[in-house]
Amino acid sequence: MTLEIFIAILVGCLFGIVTGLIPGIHINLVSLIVLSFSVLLLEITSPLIISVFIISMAITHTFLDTIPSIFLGAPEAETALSVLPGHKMLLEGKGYEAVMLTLIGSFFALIITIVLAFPIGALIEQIYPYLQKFMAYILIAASVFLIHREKKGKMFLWPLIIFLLAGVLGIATLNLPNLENPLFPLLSGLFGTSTLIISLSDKTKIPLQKISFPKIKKLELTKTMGSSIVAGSLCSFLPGLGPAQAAILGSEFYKKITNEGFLILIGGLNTINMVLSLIALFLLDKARNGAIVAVSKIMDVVTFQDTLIFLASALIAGGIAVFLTINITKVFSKLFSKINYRKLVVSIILLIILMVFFLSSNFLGLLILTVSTFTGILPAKLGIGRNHLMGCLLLPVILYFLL
Amino acid sequence: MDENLLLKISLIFSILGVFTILFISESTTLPITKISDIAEDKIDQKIKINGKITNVVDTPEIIIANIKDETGTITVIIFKNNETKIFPLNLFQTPENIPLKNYQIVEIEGTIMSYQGNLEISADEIKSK
Repeated sequence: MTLEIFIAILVGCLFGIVTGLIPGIHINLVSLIVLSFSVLLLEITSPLIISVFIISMAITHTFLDTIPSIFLGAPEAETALSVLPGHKMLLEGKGYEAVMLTLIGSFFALIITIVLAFPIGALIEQIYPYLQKFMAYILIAASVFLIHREKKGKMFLWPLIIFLLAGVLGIATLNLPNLENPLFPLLSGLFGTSTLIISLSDKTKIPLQKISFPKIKKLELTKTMGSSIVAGSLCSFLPGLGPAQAAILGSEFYKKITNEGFLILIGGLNTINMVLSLIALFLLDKARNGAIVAVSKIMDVVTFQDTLIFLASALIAGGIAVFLTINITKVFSKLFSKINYRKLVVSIILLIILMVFFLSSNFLGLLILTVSTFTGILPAKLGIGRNHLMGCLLLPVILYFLL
Repeated sequence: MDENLLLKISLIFSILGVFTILFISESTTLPITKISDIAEDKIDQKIKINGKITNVVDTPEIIIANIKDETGTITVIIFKNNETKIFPLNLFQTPENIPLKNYQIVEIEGTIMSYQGNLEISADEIKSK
């Protein structure tokens, strides 16, 4: 059994490299494919081993997915209305440092969250029944806060319009009766192809990247990790709110957050979200993301012992992911200024289009991808945060709790 | 491409596209599936069945109903708190409004799921016929 668990962790890490590095291939998607083959897989192994594989893949993914999000899709610094901290560092030749900051965030968050997992879980378990009664209002309040904090002079209506537009798109897409994997074209368009198309239209030139490890003050690291844990814990138990919203809420706890601090926060939140989703599954029987949905369906019942094995597997996978992230980022940094950026971006867009076509099994998936890509372009061109696009999940969830 | 032009094109296509998808989703209906065609490879898919209620068990949180058509029988789970619905726009009636009885003919829309090795339907919508 122990050997099987280690093999599952290693295979999970290998798959995590693929899902983490290729935008558009998300762990949710691979988990879904694993789930559809679970009948065959269960003939050769146990539900626990398949779940360990999915968790290891998911944890490795949360460490590595910052590499493409920092190295790809950077807008031209001079013309972009808002440049994300990771892209800003990439355009200064510090892409490696940016990824290392997210790695520091992910690894510290993994250790702290595993240590605090059960106390945080026990606290949430106590207050969750009360939260659930007011879930719609909590989510409305969070959405209003995220929209309100963005108002800029005459532009105050745009965040609301984008939130509602994405929300209606989410409702319409989730309501299509004959579409397989509706979230795949929706989220790929809103957050993947739209960013890639913007970077194509901006004719971005990536400078030569330096390999140097960032220097972080202990106080900044402590403050950032504290903010990550509080915001990540809240958002992990609230449906529809993801790491991007948690990052904004987290940075509110910590005034004048630096670019470096923000990257540590982002890295930490992705990992916290995944670890606490495991606890939410055990304590609340709620699956908060696609990977955990797959685990919950493969395992009929998740016991305390299973959860301990999952957390230990997450820790081992995290250790392997640190080694992988450092080495893969070095290779990326050295190669990136030499490769044809436009060809790479166009190839990834074509890969996403092909995957949407095959996974949706009809042209409706391509229509959703096209519409969500146009919707995803809007925030960048209006100079507002892309987090408002999460209305695509938040609005349906709010309506579900309200009606 | 000019910054404003890309913004205008995106806005127009986004609004037109959202309403097109909304129209398609509201006007598309699921075809009726025979119970014998429900198989493992359809888990998590939405389907619609027509059939007769052969047994109803009412518990505080769920209603478990056996539905029979000319090809077979399947168990349908109806969550009283509407937990199974993804979003409410298409949920026309709640289980409380429908007095489910044996021999009643119903049309059920829901998601196929596996519970303890058996295939079941988690109902999103029930219409009495």
